[in-house]
Amino acid sequence: MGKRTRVLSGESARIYFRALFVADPHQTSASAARLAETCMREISELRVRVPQMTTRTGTPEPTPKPIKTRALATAPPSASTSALASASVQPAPVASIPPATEAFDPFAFSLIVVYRRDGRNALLDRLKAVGDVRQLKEIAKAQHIGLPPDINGLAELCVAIVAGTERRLAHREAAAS
Amino acid sequence: MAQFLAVANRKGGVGKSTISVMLAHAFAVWGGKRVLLMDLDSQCNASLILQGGEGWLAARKAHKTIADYFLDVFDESAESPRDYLVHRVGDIRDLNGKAPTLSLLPGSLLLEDAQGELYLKEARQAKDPDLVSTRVRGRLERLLRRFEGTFDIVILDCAPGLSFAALAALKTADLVLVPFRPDYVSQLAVDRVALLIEGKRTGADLAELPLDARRYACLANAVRDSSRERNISDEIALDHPMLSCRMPMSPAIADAFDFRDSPSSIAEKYGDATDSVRMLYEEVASRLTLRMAA
Repeated sequence: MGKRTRVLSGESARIYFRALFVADPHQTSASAARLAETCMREISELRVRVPQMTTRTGTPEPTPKPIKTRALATAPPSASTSALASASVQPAPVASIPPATEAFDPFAFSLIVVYRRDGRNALLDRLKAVGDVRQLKEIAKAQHIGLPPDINGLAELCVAIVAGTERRLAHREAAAS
Repeated sequence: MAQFLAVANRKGGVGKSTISVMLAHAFAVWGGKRVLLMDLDSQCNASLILQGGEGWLAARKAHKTIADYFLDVFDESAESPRDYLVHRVGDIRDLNGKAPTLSLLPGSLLLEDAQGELYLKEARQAKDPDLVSTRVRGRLERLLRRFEGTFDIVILDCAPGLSFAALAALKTADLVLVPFRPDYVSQLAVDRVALLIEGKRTGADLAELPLDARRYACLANAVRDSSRERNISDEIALDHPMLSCRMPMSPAIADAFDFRDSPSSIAEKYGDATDSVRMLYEEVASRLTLRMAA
């Protein structure tokens, strides 16, 4: 019987990547988070293997209708990967995985690097994807981005962080002049 | 002909001397090269690491330091440059248990004074300050090059700041290694020293020069492997060529720079950081080869 696969993208892909790297004993939680973010930057969707699941009666679950999609990467077929893939795609896929907020790393991506490599709009999108005001403020603080004190809306906060990133780049350029 | 490797950064405390010594050990022991380390920093840390306090004091008393060399041989007199060198220095042994072919031109606390003296000497013959500076720098470049027929690798451990000797070293070097600590101020320092090495006035001018055509490479030093530090390294790598290896913050490395009277092997000296030192050596050797081929 062929193995089932499942396509992950967005937050479910992020959780999958984090769990995958956290399970590697050679990675710290910070490096795992960073690798996960790197994968998120490079990979829009991934197709992971789902081990054959059985119901309580021992009969295989019906195969879900396959999703036609462009799979850009697959997880490496190691034992730990398979286990994690399994954990991440079961009906309650993230139950055993720490919520993203617990593994939150304000340095998981560099504002400067995203801005310089991918542009202003890409950074804005990246910040919007974080989607949490507290985490966005934490990112800004950690990466030395000054923010006006009274900003609390998600959208305006993202714009303010981008503007702060631009100021930081301007400071660096001026310092080297 | 020797390959010249300068280790430089205008910022202090980034590990220039320790990286210089590390590479001197590695090229001499693993590479089997004839290595000369020229200590161009008046802090003299590289000399103290390689000679210990007593060895360095003996060199000073014998007037065999970089300052003496510059002052005595500035006019390119017949004095033999080799007389100023100390051979077989260091507290390590090579793979055969012998002292490696590692020589040192010891540092001097008076190096800045000596350079000032040379400037005044040159100023007696020319009035234009820029011309005087250019001449002093040019003379020092020639003095640095006097050893190129005798060694395979000449490592120039530069002082922070912009001394004539440091500028001459940057000009002379086939490859400049720029160690940095992954922090904000170091980032700015890398930007500045890069302009200096490539002779550019602005970041925009520098950006026109492809990364693989640059004469320098940056090295993240004393890293703790946090995502914060990785971010800073990534940011620097947007604008500057970066070595793929990074030197860890390691007690073994810190301990290695305490001169010992009883010599040890390079693996004993660097302990669990030996692999990191070897990776650095291999990458720098490879970059030097590429630079020479270009």
